Amino acid sequence: MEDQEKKPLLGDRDNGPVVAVPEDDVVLEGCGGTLACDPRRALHKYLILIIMCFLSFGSYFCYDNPAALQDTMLKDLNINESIYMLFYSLYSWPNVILCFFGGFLIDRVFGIRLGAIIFSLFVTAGQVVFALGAFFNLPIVMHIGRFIFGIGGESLCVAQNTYAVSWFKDKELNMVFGLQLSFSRVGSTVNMNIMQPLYDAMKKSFPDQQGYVILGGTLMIGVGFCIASLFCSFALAYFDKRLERILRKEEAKTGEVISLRDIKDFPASVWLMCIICVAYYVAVFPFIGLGLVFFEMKFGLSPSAASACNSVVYIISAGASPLFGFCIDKLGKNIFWVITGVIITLACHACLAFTWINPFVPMVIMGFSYSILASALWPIVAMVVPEHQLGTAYGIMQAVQNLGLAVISMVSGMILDSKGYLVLEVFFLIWLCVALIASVLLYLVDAAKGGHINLSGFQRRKIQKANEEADEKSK
Amino acid sequence: MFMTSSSPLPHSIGVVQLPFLHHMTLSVPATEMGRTLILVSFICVLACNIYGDSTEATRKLSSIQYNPGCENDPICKRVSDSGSAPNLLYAYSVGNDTLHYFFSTVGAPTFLVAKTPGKKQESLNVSWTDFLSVNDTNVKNSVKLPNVNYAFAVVFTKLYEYNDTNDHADFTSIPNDEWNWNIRDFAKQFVWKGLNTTELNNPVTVRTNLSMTNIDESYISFDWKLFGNHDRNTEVPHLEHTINDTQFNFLINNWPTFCEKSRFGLELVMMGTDGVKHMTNIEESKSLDDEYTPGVFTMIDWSTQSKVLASDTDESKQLGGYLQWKPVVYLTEERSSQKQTQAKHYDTMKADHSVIKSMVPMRSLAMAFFGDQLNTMTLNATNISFGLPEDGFYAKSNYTVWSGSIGYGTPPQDEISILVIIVIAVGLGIPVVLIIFGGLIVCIKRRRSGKGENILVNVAGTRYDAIN
Repeated sequence: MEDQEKKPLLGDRDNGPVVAVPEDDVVLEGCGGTLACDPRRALHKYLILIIMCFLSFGSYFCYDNPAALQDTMLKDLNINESIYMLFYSLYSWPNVILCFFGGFLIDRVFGIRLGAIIFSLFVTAGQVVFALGAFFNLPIVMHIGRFIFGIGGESLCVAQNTYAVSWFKDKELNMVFGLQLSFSRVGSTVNMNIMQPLYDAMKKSFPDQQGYVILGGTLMIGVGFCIASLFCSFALAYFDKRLERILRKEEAKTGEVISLRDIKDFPASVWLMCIICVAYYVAVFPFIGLGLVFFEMKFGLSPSAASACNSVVYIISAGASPLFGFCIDKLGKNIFWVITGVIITLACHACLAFTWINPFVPMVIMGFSYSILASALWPIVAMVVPEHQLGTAYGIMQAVQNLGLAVISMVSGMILDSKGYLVLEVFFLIWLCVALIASVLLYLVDAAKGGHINLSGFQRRKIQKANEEADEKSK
Repeated sequence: MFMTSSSPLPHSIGVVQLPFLHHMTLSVPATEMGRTLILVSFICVLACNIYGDSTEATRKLSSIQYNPGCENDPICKRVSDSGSAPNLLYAYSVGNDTLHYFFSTVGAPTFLVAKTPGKKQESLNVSWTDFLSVNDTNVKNSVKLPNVNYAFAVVFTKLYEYNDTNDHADFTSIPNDEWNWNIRDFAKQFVWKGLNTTELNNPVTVRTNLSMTNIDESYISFDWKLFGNHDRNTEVPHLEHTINDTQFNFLINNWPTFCEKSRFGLELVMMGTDGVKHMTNIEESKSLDDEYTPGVFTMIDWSTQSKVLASDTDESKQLGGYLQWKPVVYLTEERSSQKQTQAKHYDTMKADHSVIKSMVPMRSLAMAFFGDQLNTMTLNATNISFGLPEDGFYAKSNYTVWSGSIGYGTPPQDEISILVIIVIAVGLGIPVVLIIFGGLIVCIKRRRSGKGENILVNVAGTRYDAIN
């Protein structure tokens, strides 16, 4: 059993990613009991993983459409900055609550398969409305579109996380989360880089059209990605169902149903993770949002160097998260990695605040520490919350994170404008200290309960093996 | 009713507060109390210093006079051939000595500061016919102030507009041909509006409208604010002002550009009666702290005397004039760090004294005040340009405002405020203490439990089985 488990796993690490991309369509067309299609084989799981990653690609791509076309939108739609900012706030504020309910609905009402499909539909519909609004120069319609898009967007991420746990629990979860993170980054980076050139190209081919018509047309490209993601949600539903049928796996949701009251019985570690999540993320993302001027004015970087420096965290996390995830799968000790990530980020921020060291150094290191933290933190939820409550737990965490980001982004802007970057950096440092204290507490709480989360990879595999043997005996 | 109910109030506060304070002091351990005391006294000392600074001296500021001595002279009512009204603003501020502040848009806009000893109000004598004369020799020494023991001036000589085709925001890279430049002579090409008495506020605004279209929103203006106390401007960049300086805003609002990629810049000439023909350099000082001007970490001082010279002896410390600014311009009326771009300065001119002297326009307050004294004065010129690469050029915001201080003495230097020190000390101190103590407790706990790891594994194993 042990050998069988290990063999395909090692083998696929070499083959999987290389073969996987072109075979994506083949998988969709169905097949028999070949290596790629047998749900018991690891290769099949890795192909599913690719579909899973593409599940939220459309939503990440479209989320940053306004940013990629900011100047164009302001000009073509003749709107001011605050109307433009509404494109984002109409997404983020409702999601402070919505994705919590999204997670709960996944657990309680829809189930994961239907849930993912429904949320994908919302994302696609939202983007269609958004693009049509631009096409007819109706900013209000565009706002409605963003709101519809928002209903689906974050909840889709919750669905994606839940899928990841149900397919990869205990073995490759850190790596899977890392890979999903990296895909989300790729999604927004691709968007940032292609939307403006696409707009310019369309403008060239239809020189007689009004700017907003071209804008609408360009945004329709986003709809294409959303539809691709929608197909992924159907495919995942099919394969998940198939897996259940073939393996005769009992559906985790049957029997036990979560009610809203169960939330208060969530283990303390879930709430600690929410604190870490908020306190850490607010020290990274709002900072990146305000970083450009900081790099230009404090360190004298040219604007292009400053924006490169600003996006280096995203680029590194896209590459490094799956790798770190893979390593953490092998090494275990998730809490240790979380603490490491927080401490390194703390040092980076201190460096930016109190020294004149070239900002590329701390930002690159921050990119790595962020990857470590992100790929170690999210899988912990699956270790402490039973599977039938996972959607809700991820929903809560995402909701708290959204709330934190929305509020702290505003507060950061206010601090910056009244007291400057030094105080702002101190503000972020304080948040990181909170994250550090929460993660140390998480370690203590876990240690008091027997150190289940912070097992090393070796210990975890040993337990797993014992567990499987026990299962076999009972059969 | 009110009397009776209000009387027990202070009493009850006292009753409630005393035990509370008592309890507080008791609960703080002795060592920690000592530390707190040190911190508190440290803060007190700092606070006293600041308080002392701000009350150290004030000056009594006069109201701003408009075209002094010309109130009833028809020559000041008449606009010049170009349509420009004569504007000379004057105020004085009396302390141990008297500082006289001038701002004029007769010819090139000029800020001038002159010092006379004692509290005696010297009488300003302007020969208006000569001052407004088109004859160069008449202009010289047409503005007279007796007993001046120091004077210096900053003249805005040219407004540059250049076509930044490569978006470098550095005009040294622009080819020197007429296609890429639109250079306006401040002394000749602008039509300044006159002021009426209701507009003589502090700050006072003088503007030049675009003459040909007369669109009211297209203008270039100077705001000039005078101070009699030591404080900080309430508006970003929050420049500090001493009792010896004035501040200005230079605004280019909705100004039509000659090409899409236009950026603006200025040529400035500074002169002082420091008695030496040396040329001073612009000095930059950097700081980690941008609390006063969010997003700006540099302070720029352009003084008639270098800092080294100034600190040589106490007496010379008081001599010299300065123009101080931060390398930032704001792009919207509501100034914000996210709507700013750079005010880039260039090296001061490396040219002969006579060359720089020839840059001072004949028609300017500087020429009218100093006359041939310019031959022996400290002189220098520099350029400033507004913009950073990729900021969308002037046309993106159609608004650029630059602020600076012009004053006498040593330019004030920013220091980290107590508030920020407290924020850093408390905000980072508390978590660090918590983490250190937490860490110690964990270590002690682990050492007591002895075997650590092994126990954890066993417990984990059994626990996992138990769940299953």
